[in-house]
Amino acid sequence: MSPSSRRRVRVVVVGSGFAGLGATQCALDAGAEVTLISAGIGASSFYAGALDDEPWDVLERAAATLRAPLVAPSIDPDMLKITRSLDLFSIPDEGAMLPRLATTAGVLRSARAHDRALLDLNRARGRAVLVPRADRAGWDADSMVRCLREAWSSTGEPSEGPSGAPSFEAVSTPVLRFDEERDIVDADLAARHDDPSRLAWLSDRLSEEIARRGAERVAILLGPWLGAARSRADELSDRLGVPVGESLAATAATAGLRFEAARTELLRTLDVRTIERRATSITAQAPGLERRRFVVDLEGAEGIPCDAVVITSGGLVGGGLRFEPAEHAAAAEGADHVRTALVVRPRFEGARLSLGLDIGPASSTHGPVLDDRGWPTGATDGALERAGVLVGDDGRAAPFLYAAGDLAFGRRRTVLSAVRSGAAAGWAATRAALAAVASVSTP
Amino acid sequence: MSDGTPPPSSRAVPRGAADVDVVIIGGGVNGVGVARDASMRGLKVALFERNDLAFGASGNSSGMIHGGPRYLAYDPAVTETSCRDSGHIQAIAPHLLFRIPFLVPVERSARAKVMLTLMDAFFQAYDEYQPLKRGKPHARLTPEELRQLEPGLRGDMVGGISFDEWGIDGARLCTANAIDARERGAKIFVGTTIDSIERREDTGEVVAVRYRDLRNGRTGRMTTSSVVNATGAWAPITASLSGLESHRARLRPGKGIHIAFDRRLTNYAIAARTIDDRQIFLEPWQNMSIVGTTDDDFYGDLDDCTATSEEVRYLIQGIARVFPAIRSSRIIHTYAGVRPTLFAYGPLEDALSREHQVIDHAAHGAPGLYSMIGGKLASYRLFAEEMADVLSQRFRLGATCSTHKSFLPGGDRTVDPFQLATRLEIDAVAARRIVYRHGSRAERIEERIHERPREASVVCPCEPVLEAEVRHAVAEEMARSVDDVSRRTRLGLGACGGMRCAARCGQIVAEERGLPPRFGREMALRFLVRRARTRAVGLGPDQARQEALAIATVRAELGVADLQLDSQSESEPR
Repeated sequence: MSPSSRRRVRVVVVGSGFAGLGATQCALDAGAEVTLISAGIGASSFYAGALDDEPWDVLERAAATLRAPLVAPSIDPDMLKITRSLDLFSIPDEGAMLPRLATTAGVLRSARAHDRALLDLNRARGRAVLVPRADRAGWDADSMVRCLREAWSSTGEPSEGPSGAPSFEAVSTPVLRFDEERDIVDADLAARHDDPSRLAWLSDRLSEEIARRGAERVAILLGPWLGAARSRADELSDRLGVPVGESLAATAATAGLRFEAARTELLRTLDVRTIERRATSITAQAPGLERRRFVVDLEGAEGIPCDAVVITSGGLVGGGLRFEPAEHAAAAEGADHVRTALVVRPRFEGARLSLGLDIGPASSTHGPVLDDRGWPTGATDGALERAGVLVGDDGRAAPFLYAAGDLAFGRRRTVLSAVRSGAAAGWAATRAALAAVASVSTP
Repeated sequence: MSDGTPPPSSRAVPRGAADVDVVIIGGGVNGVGVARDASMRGLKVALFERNDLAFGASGNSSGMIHGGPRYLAYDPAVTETSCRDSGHIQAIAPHLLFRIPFLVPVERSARAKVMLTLMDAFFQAYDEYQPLKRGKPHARLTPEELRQLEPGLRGDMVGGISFDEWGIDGARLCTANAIDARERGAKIFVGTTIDSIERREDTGEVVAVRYRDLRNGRTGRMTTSSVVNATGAWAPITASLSGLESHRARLRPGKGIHIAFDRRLTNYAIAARTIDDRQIFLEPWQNMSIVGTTDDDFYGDLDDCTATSEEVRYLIQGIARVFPAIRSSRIIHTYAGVRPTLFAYGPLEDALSREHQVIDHAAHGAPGLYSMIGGKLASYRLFAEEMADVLSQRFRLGATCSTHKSFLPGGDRTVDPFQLATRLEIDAVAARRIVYRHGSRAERIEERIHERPREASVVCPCEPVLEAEVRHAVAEEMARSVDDVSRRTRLGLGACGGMRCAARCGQIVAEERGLPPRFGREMALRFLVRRARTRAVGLGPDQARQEALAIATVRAELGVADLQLDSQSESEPR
């Protein structure tokens, strides 16, 4: 039989965060017809704007121990393609200097790649980095400046010359236009800068400050305020002729908003059917020549028959896994409190699927006990970070059923790791489905 | 009361030859109480605290100076002294007190009617003591009345009793005593441990202590003729630093845990019974609700005592019988302390005496060394008075106690929180909380803000705590880390567990103390991870999600890979 006479395999991807996008693109590339089911983004919309593969703190600690320079490690082509397609990030080439970002807590951190709105302090070498004061809770320019100076000096890099350390300075340039802006959340302030006239106002204030300084080479570091729909940092930099960018604040959600906007844009350009609903269960069907292997059941709509499924519905943060502590079971009178986010219901013998919360070595007969293991300390991962479904290297949890991203057990909870696991699962799911169709069609 | 044998030496101990007259070890409520009393009587005092003021049982109690109705049946003397001293504390620190009315529902059973009548009679007896602490007499309530007062009450009740107690912030009580002692000339060293208590080889008399600052390793020696071991559950260890056998300061350590919820779940405290018939309670306390407590023999590490998930389960199960909504309520942290109860072999933990006792180690060949064993928060002042009486006798001072007659810092007059809020243009709740914690000393925080208006900014939005108060805690109240600031101000003890304030607070503490900023980050991280550990034992399904997010957040912003939780000592510059 020629390949063209085979029916096209259909892969369903559940979840549209970083892992879901990775799976979608690779399944498309591998030749599948893809349906994406998503009820919204979980953990991905809480990412802070920095993209790591290995966690940055672990990487820096290792580099410090080995006295090795912080250079960008190699990046998988799939991962590169997917992150580039979002048109959101600045991604240095392999071997280049790792970007250095400032957090609003005054910590200097590296990242493999980052949202373009964030200021890479490498671009500010040999410049005075101006940090405007603003009367907002959690923003203290003077204190940030003090912390960043110390943080940079402890990197041990040369401080003089054009490629030397940036100097940090708090300035009184106004960046809040109205009184109520002292109290609104970071994301709201960011959204205000989507308005061109508001951005022009900010640009004027900053340009006044730059003019005041004459010939001095400067850069400008702001809070996570530069646009919610997309980054306005490049535009500001172009207008002012100096590097301008945000500092990273993990609770701000600004970078997450920009990711959501970019994802929506990307999905519009891909050949994907997107269904904005919650997947409630996956039902295996009796094998048959023309019958798809699974039906992914939806909340309030007819299920989607398909040949393979990639589940990327998130870990504890995204809501793909539900943690049921023993405390609740002990206190409850009935058992009706036990709920599961996603049920996989095997209907035929031999289709034994193992999905659910698996917290590994922390489990007891009553469920996971987190007393000392909930949080990471030092280089040890915390149990809450490791909760997930047991999968193989390619994300295979059961035949034709794949899990990726935070849902998969034993993965580092980083953006690039989610993209990579999604990509691997997308490829593997499609290949497995293609092979199965081929073997059935071959007499 | 003193151990008695042998009688104190008849010759007065000379003063002035040593650096200080008395070294007090322990910054719990008993230690700071003695430091204040002894200073008021004119003694030169130094106090050493290994961790922080109110680090142990004093800061991890139920937060009540209750009269101890529980002890009325077998230890009425404890009830009377507790009630009397509860009244004294109200008089000297009125700003720190808040009323907690209790409801005790009685479940239907064969003996329920008899039980209720007995309780009625019992509380009739307790009413006798209520005027001592300005409490209201009890009331007998029908099931309908109980439900009207607390609609969340469930179960088949035959009726119940209400009675009245007082709540207090134990950490603030300790801080107030320590500040007062310091203002009267006492030297207070926090974060400083005693390495040894030196004694003369011939007479065994105490001559000096050697101390070490745990955060920078600095050591020193201070001469003294008397040492008071007020280290609560640590007492046997402390006594052994003088070369005595630890059982000379023997006690029965009893661990008690509490669970804190994100809001006030009820207006009344509700008493309930556990599966093994112990009395526990759900209590509205400051801006949250607290469930307590357990009582179990404890032999673990006193410096690192935390609640376990089993203990949480046990308490929740008990409360859920009368107040089922507790199951869906949100636990924001847990805490644990170890009671230093008097030693007895055999009785169940709950039946142990809450009496207190001064041990004069002259009986063991160590004249000048005293151990304070037992006691409870409500009678700390009385216990301190008894200890100071012994010192007074030792130095032939003839001075009597006046700690119940003079105000603790901030207790002398009231400050109107609304006017304060208007003057400073701050949130009324923030002003109210400052006045609660500092009484009239709130005006010192006000002065700071007048001088530097930027200090009016909110650091901890949950409580809320202003930057000025954080700086005040470091500059005036001996706080040295984010943990310390949290104990003094309740910063980071709200629903977000310090996620929004710890890093900022660390920056401020480091700046105030003249430390490089990286120490601020480190102490913020330590605080966050410790808070997380106390939360992990009581996480609900939805909180687990939030917790995972919190981990991601802390990792992204601060990084955790270089955090070594157990390397606190000798990390700061000298």
